Amino acid sequence: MSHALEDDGTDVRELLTRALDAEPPVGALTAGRVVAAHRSAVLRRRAAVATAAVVTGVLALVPFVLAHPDRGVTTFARPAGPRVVPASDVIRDGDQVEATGRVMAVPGAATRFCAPTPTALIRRSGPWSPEPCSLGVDLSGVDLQALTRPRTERGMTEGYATLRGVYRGGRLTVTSQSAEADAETPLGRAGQLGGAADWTTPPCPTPSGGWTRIGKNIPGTGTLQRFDGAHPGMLISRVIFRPTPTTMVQVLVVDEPGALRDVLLADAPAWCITRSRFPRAQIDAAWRDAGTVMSAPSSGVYAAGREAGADAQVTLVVSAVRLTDDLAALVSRYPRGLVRIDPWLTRVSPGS
Amino acid sequence: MAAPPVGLDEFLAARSASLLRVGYALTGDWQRAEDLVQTALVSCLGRWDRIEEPEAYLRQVMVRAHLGWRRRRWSGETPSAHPPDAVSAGGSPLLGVELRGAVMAALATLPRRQRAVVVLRYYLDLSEAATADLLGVSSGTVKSQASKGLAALRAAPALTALMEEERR
Repeated sequence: MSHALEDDGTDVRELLTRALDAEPPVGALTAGRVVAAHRSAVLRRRAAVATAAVVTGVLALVPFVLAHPDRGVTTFARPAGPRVVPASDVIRDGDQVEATGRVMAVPGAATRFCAPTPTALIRRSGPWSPEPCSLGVDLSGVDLQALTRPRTERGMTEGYATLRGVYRGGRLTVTSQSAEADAETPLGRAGQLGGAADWTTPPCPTPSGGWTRIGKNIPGTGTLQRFDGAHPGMLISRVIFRPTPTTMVQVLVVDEPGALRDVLLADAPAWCITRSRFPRAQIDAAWRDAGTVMSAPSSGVYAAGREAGADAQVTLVVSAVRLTDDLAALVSRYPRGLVRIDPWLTRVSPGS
Repeated sequence: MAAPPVGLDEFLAARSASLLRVGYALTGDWQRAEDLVQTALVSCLGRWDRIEEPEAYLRQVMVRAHLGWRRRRWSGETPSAHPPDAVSAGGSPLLGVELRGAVMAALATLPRRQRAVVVLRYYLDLSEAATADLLGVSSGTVKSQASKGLAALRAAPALTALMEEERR
């Protein structure tokens, strides 16, 4: 391509259009599959909400860890010492556990109870068969006739249930079975994936001129870019909050807010700069560590990512079939709140 | 949610291919494109009937999800760099496949956000302002990122060679 081409990107536009002018090599999406995936997502989100509520409660009990807001900067005391994960949190053989999920029975194979892994929305060509279930547990004693939303074809059965039973060696022996827990709850806003954060209350006081109106250029963006370029890796998290339906504010989570505050807020006060609860180096180390733990085939991990909470602070979230010793050790190696395990199988007390 | 929202099936039948292409342009991988579409659909299912422009809304969620999340693949599959999918309509089929491979390889060299800007501006034809709003950045940022993205694509050796071959 020559440099005589127009700068409006006509050539690139044409290339992209031609390159992508093909039918996707997949089948049709169906609404039914979307609903099934939605149900799994809501269940995961409920677990996240419960955890967030616990964390919020703990924070409310220790207000001294929240320091003073100053010029749009909120500081947090950094927790010291590792979190101790009680050994009793780990699911071991003989424990009574509970979960809600998909049950599948295929002739010639063990009946499976499947973790809410992301499932393909795309309906493959050919006759129906249940989605594969590589992450989950084998089942004994489940009543296939009592499943919610059952489907049976050619001897294969799929459905959903809430099951309680005894876990042993990757198998769940069912002691009680009930209908799939109702998963219908309002969903969060767009972009809130895997968590339940409601990004409407930025962790900074409203500046005298108010927050930026949506659709307007954001003063200071260039300044931030230059500063970011000169300090690579400075930004730990960047979350857009919407304090009102017509305003927005970008919350910047950084290691040391002082220098950025001096540069950015002097000319553009409508930013919210907050100190990261955990140092960048520690977050990166935890992420690498998590990657190592997840790579073990027996980890049972099916999703992991960085999650920004309602205060824009970063948490590393690892979704797994159950809490194992390795995952508990991972959590224990870092300060409280940095790494969260989101297990599918949860312990229940006998008799509860 | 026991039943799908009214109109969702019809929407998917008409627009899912378009959404998948956007996902493919962003990720360079059809499986990840499926993931993005699924993620977006799931996140807005509960209020589907209140969304005025579902395709635009889903695109926004897809882009933000792609930029904000890093999900471990659970299947363990390793997709090939250039899957043997359908060829483009018109022109030489071989050139179409090669072109797609070259374009996707060139896009893959761009930083993730810059790639998103290029896709939004030059594949979806969004304006600078609309792109800026979707990404939550200024128009100036979009302009500079688009400029850098165009320059990088135009300098991609495989793409340059292919285009010259096509002209001959």
